[in-house]
Amino acid sequence: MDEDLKTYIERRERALARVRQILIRDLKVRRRPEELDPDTPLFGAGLGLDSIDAVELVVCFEAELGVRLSDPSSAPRALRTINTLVDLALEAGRVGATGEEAHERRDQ
Amino acid sequence: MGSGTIVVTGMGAVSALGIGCEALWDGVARGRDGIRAIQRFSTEEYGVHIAAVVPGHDGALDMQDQAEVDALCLRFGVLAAREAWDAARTEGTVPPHRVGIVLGTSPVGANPVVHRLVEKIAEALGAQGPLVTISTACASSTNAVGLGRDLLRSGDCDVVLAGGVDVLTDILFAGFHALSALSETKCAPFSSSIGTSLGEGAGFLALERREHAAARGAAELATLLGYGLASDAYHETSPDPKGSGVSSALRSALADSGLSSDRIGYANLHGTGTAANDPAEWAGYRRVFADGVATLPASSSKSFLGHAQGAAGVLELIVTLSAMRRGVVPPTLHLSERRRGVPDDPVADPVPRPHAFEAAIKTSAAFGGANAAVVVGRPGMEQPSSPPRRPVWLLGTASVGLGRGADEDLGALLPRSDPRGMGGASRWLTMAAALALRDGGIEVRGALRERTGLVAAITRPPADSQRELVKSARERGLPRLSASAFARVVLVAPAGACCRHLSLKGPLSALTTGAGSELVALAYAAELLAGRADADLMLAGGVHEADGDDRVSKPRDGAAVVLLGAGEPPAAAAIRVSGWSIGPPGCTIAASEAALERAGVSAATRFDPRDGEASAVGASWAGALARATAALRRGTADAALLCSVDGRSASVALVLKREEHGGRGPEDVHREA
Amino acid sequence: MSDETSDAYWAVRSTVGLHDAGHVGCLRVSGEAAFDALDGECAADLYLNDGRMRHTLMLSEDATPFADVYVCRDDEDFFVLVEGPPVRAVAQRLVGRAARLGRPIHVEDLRESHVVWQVDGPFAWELVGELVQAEVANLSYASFMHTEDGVCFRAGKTGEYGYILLVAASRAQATWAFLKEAGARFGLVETGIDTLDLCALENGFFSMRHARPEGATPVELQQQWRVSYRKEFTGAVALARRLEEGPARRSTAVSSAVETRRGDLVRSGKRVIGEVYAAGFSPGRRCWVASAQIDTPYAHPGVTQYVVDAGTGAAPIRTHSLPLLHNRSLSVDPRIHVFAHRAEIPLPPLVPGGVR
Repeated sequence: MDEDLKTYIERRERALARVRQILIRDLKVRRRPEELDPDTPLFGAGLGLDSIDAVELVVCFEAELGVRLSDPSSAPRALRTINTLVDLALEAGRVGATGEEAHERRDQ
Repeated sequence: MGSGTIVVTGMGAVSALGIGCEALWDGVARGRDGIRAIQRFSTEEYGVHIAAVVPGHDGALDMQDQAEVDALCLRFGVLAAREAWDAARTEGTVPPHRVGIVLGTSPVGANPVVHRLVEKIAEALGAQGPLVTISTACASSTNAVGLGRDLLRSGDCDVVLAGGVDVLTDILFAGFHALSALSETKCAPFSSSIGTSLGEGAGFLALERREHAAARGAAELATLLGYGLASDAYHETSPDPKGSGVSSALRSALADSGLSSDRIGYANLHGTGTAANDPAEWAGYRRVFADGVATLPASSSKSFLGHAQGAAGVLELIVTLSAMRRGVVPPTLHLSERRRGVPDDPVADPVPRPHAFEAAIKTSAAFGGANAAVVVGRPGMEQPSSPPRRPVWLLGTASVGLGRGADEDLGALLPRSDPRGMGGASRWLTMAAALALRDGGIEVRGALRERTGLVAAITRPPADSQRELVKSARERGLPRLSASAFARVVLVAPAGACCRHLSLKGPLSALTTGAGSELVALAYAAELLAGRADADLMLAGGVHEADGDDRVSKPRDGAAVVLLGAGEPPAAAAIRVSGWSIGPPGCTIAASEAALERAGVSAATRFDPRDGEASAVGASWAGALARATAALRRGTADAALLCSVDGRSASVALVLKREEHGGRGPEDVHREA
Repeated sequence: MSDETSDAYWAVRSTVGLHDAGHVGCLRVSGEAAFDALDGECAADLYLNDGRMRHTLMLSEDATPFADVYVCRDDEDFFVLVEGPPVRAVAQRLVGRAARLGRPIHVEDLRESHVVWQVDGPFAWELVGELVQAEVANLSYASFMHTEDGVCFRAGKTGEYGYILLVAASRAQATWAFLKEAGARFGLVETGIDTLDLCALENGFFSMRHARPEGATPVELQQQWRVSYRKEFTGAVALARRLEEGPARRSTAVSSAVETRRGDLVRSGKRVIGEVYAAGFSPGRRCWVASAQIDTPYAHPGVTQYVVDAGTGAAPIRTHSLPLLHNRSLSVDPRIHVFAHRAEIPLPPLVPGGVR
């Protein structure tokens, strides 16, 4: 694994750990971290979170990671799966490196 | 006991349109709303800056000082109650101890002793009858009007002031803001602009029996024809999108009033303007009114008054009654681009529309899935005779916690219930209710769900959610208040959770009178079963939670619930809840005598909480109830009396009696064989 | 991809797709043992209120998926929508479980008396609303309601508004004709199962009807949200062991500009790190999309350094967070929007930076 990739994956895993922690501690999801797959859907099926949880999630992200989710055009896209939350956390830079979306924008 | 028609003889209102019913109607008549910029606290950090605040009382207030908030609440309450009291010319014509007050309120934020407010209002007015606080969030005062009716029918009061009070606080605002329920622009129900505006105020109706009003020469303003309660058993804040709770409450209220839906000429909707409420509520109407919805004028007064929380229902009822007297229907303001699935005729006029109607219905829907509907009619309308009273039986009892720990795990007891986010109070109440059903050998399924309800005594906001709410406000600031904690901090939340987990869709109410609350809940549940025909089973009981910092008594947390059933006796030998009375505070003896008389017994063995039990306010009668039922079953007592001695809001007494029916029932024969 | 398939794809993604779902079985389970038998055979905690449904899996003893099921609570009875094995195999497991519990169960195959159709797309609610009643717009995800002719379940794997309609056979012909006729006003296109599978792939669902990676359990498939570790059920022991060991590989979404197929190897530099097990051309992303099993240390989205070896040489791929596109249904609000005015609905692009 080359160094860039290694660094990226390490940051991604750190962000993933933070997101899992927020879900378990603040959203009271009754799961161990390793049960929360990165591509787990948040709402509807998936973790079964509802609209109140969505609000709570937005606030926790702001409070914990300094990530603003108030932009209505980006929020629905970030609030899909654990991975999209990780993307957001990375994009905001608090956890370091860039997220998937940043990669894509650069490419397109 | 007597029944007879209940009439409205006075009204009082404090609202964003001003002090007094006249100011309220004047605003509506001119098509002028009371929604404006908030001065009371800073809204700088929010995206919303407006609310319907009472003029003249809308200046800055120290929100940190709970005493100031309480004082404002009291001021509103007294102003409105006194207006109703004066309008009904109660002073000097009714003995003070025969005037009761039922207050609907839904305080959020501090850690108030909820039942204190009604006691202070009564003191200011000089009313000395029983005082009950209903706290079913946004349905509180609508439910309060209903309970007021029942207290008159049972003969416990001669006049009841029934209504509600709530004030706009920063934490309430922050909570609704966190739930994304607020609109940046003025509340425009049924429109494509989604969201509500908060409001505040107080409203009261003076209610009494028609003969009583006539005898003292009080003028009749309207007839209170009936009411209905129902639980959604769906979600903590969102209504059932199919409108099942609203439709059950509507059906109940119509059945109670003896009117068919085509007699209803106007509907005043809960109509908050939020995304979830409006279409769900109207879906409920469609189920009941069928094709009639196409021509039913249905408007929301929240476009004038904002959402006044616990006071909303009664204020909107006052708008309805004022309109009825004038032969008009009140409009929905600010309507633009009608949403799908909302009323066909939302009365989208700038001012009231001439349209005479003889009867109207008012619905309220609340957090916790509590729905309430009230049917009112013109003065002089005759109510058809109420259904024959049914005997009420004690079918099961259960308690959990209360110093004994929980012998059962919630997961084992209710494998279908998601315990995520369930706080202590919800857990205790749900478990006790499930065990009471099991004790009674009842499985709530099928049509029985709609016919099984719950009256819960909840004396304080659920402790876990309260702690979480305060913590989130402290650590993250009010603009980032925890939406989930806010949703669960209303008093009715544990009762709503219990209904949700047990699929109870019958009548749902939550009340407090402080000490003795759970006996009042029991009496109310018994009255709902005896006096009407829309429920067959009621769970009744209460939750006790110690203060968060009261570590010593924490192990006493828990809940106690009984299962009551109406109709045929469940067995050859059964325990009948044969008499109950809710009387003035400090009048235990009088309440006991009334309960004994209604039970038709001359004496009964009294069962009281033992040392250590009494401190578990909300569930302190669990032990006494268990001992009483055991004694009745063993035959060591023929009748048992349970009565509260220290209630500051009300005294309450219940009589349980062992009854044998027609020799041996099939069950006994089976047992011997 | 043929034009026909492409039309069907765009119908699901931007208007309405209708599918005669012969692949979906439907059981009605009742009797005293109904809940316990389902609880013992389904992997998820069946936290279910009346009228709600739960998307879960039935597993084999080795924890590999046996059936993809929705369990729907109707009072004290249940509907079970089944994908994968024949419904009688699912019924047998339920009956077997009930027998071990020593309590009665009744399992009825509703396909004998009903048909099952699927309606998916950003305006599916509007069409189904015309068929059933306006309340359908209020029906939340994973809920269902009884209708005059059957049951309407709100469920689906495309990320769009999705409805599974159970219609009495006697009403099937008339109802189908109604849907086709009314559907014409909502841009309805009849879709094949391949289209729905592709959309499901884009939204992170694996197909029970296609071969899966050898021995993969919900842990490797990133489907743990559909299982519980707090209860006993068939496959629970093996599943818990797999999680404890830690999965060697994990399903990961990838995209590629060149054709990608099942069996293609994924490499990082010279090292083989995974294998594609499902793939298709995505008109939405205008590239090939696939699910690959990738060695856990490498299984992360947002990586552009991997290549896929399709036999014709190495082609770069990119790994992605799921879902692979932004479903338009998220921007369509039935309370406000209607198909007729869809041009006025502000829709973000399906793919960040994309145009369509």
